[in-house]
Amino acid sequence: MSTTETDLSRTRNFCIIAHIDHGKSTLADRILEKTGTLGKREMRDQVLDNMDLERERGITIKSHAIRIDYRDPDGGAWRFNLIDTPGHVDFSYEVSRSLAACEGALLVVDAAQGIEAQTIANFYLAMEHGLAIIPVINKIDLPAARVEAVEAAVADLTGEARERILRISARTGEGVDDVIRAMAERIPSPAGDPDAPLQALVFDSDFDSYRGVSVYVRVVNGTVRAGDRILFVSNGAEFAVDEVGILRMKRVPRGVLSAGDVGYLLAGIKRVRDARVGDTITRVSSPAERPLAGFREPKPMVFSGLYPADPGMYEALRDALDKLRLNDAAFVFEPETSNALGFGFRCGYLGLLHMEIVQERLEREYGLDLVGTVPNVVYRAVMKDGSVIRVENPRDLPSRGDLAVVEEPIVDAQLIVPSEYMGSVMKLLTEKRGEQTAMEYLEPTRVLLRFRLPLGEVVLDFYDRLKSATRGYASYDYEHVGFQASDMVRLDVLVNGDPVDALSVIVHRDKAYAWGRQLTRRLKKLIPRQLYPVAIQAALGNKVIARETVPAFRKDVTAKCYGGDITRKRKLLEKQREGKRRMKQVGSVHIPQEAFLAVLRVDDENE
Amino acid sequence: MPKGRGLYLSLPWDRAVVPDEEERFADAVRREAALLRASGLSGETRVVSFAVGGGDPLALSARGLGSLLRGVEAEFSFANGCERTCEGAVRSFGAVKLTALREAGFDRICMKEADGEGPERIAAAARGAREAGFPTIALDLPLDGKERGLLDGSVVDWRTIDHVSLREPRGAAPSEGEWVRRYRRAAARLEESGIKRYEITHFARPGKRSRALRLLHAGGDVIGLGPGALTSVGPMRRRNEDDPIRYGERLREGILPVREEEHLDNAARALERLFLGLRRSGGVDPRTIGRGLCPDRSPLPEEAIARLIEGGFLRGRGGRIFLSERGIVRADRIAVELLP
Repeated sequence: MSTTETDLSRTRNFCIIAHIDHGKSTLADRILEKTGTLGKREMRDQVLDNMDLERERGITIKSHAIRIDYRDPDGGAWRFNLIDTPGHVDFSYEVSRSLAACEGALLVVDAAQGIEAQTIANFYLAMEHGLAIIPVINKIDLPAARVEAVEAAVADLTGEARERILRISARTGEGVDDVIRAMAERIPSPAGDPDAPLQALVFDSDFDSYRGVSVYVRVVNGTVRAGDRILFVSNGAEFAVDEVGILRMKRVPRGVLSAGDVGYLLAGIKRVRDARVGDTITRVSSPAERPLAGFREPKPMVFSGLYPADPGMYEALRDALDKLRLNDAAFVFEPETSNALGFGFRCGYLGLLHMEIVQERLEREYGLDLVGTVPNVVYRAVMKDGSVIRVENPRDLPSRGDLAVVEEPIVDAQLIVPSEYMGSVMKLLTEKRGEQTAMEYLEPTRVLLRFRLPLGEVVLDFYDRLKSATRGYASYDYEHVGFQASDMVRLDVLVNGDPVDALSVIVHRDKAYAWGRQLTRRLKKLIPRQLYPVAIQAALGNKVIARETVPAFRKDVTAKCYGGDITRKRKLLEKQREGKRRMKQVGSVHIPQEAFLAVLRVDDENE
Repeated sequence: MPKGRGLYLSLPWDRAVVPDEEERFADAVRREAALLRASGLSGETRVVSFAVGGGDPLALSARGLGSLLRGVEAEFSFANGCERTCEGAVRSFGAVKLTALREAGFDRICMKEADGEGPERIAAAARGAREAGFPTIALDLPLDGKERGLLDGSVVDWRTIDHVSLREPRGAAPSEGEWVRRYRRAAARLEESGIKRYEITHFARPGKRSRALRLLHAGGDVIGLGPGALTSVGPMRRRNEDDPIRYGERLREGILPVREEEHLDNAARALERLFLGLRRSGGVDPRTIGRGLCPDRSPLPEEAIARLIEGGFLRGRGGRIFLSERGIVRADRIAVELLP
């Protein structure tokens, strides 16, 4: 059945937004259950998070959508399209596109935790998209729930009257009927003209090797059906539509998708790169005059080298990366060579979580043993002749002679911190070269801090250190706000005089000396004794600023070598040989794989 | 490598035992030898080296020892001129027993358990062995710090000693530097006395190298009998039950008392040949070893060899590589460095 005028008035497109672990997926499960979308047998917890990694990490990485048919107590039929959203700052652009496909949002806040950084970030994002927001306080059944206080804070944040804030327990189902009713009552029906030229917003896509790319769309205007020839506006790619349909737990083919509908289309697309999130689809024969607003190319902000632990697995790694890229438009890679690590790839990610997910998938799904180098952010090297070079790898930072200035990426971060930990958080932020821009008490014991920080200081270990400084009670979120000129220098590491390119980092000059000392000290602990003493040096250009020495291997005149000793010795040497194989050789020095991530833990030395 | 195979009988005791116990043990060894022959392991290859060791064989009665030997000799084919070695604690050395051993055909006597023995006792034991007519007298010398007095002093007549094996002392090991100093000092002193190093810890006068050790270190076949004995035949490595009671029980049940057995692949055998070969004064041929170790049958990595030669850890001569003085004290690590 095609969507009709009447259907549209009873259609609601919505999403659920929340800070991590505030119960977004549990509420989705409960709505599906209450509306009879899934029978008990089909239910499993957090059905929308169907990737293993998502379920393990308790976060949704890839957006999904599902259609819910609901009959209210008066017998009225409703059609809800729930669009699930990623819950991490790395995927904020994907979140924004999911929001753009909706008219309303459930803003879920944990009754014990209260408002957290992502609650605020998501709320403002939803506001920017003009969504109707339904505040929901979840987990009211928890003994630690502070319903009144949290409700007051939510009312302050959203400007919603307290009586309109819903109190629920997604776990037990209490109050979920009120949520469903509020969705029908408070979220506007989608606008849009089914007779206008096609404008469909791509809010997600995924790939399987049998059917190619599934494109998840919200049709804003017009209609699309099998047989149509469509055009992706951003890249001009044209395809013939094979199938359109709606999304339940599986894809359900339909004859047509019309303005206001949420669904999928298949068009023999081979790469997700050809169906980018945020892009507009129109019809080739009668194209829309302009695309929908808000599209941008996903731009990786964090880079790291990925190398096979066993050099013989290079081709296997390339194949795995190729396959991964089919399903992840934001992931980029290109071959690179390191003197320490051999042949590998420079990979670009949206952020640290994205990086961890990619690396974990490579190891888990493709069985690869990898050496990853320390992640770095993108810098802009502004040259004296005015040209600008994008520096994705520390070794590409031009020499000082031609360089006018280095610009580093900057973020605006918001942190919510229990007031008792303010001191330690401020200290951390200062150490990370942060500048405070605002401070506000959300509740008497909880403070919202706004800081401007270099992204490079955030990507390494900021989150871990924030958690340890606040015993896990702080939350933070950030958004990129541009680049800023900074006195950045490249710190190189030399092992017995040979530079180890994979250990080079770009740091602020004021931190270079301390960084160099800590890094060499840490490497000394990680590099095992060898036949020779090993000198580890940190250098700025030709100037060595720190040095440590690993003494030579212990001398050992193993005496007897009779029968049993031979077997024991053989087994020991086989073990040592395995250990050696897992190390990378630079000149005459074997460096263990952990050493290449030593920079990540440099700040631990302070603790 | 000597042609033929070695035989090693491991005794569980370092003290005297009652005659019944000696006889039960001799019976168990006879059964083991018979089972080995039945299994085909004793084979046609002649025994060129026979050694009795383990605890303190000299603690056994001459009768008991003789009974053991006869049991073994009945099942194996001994070559003419087979080297026959008996180890024994210095404290157990006595003229009667030494004479009996000599009459039983033993031509090498090895003075073990020298920890805590003064130079006088060692000198007396060596003299006694010589008087009993042993052509080769070996000393197992712990580097416990006291060896300095023994090596430098005039109590022991070093002309009576033909073979010396250096070893770590029992108990706490000395510090890294001290251990190496003791080793180097002892090695230098032995060389001065004409007792030359042929393996890192084994030194001998010309013609007096141990055939049993040479077989072992060259990857030859050695069959072990007795509790805890090790057998190494071709790629097979086998270890007997350690517990003498269990050992005896298994044999009474007609089963070889094997506790564990493994079959090495080519790479593992090559690794054995590499680290054992490096320990020998003859060094190793990197092409031969590499053929076993490298999947593509290429020689050991030239780059690693060159680096180790440049670093003073190895010497190269006539296509073979040898540990230098600097390399000797890091032999195992150098073997690892050479592995592809």
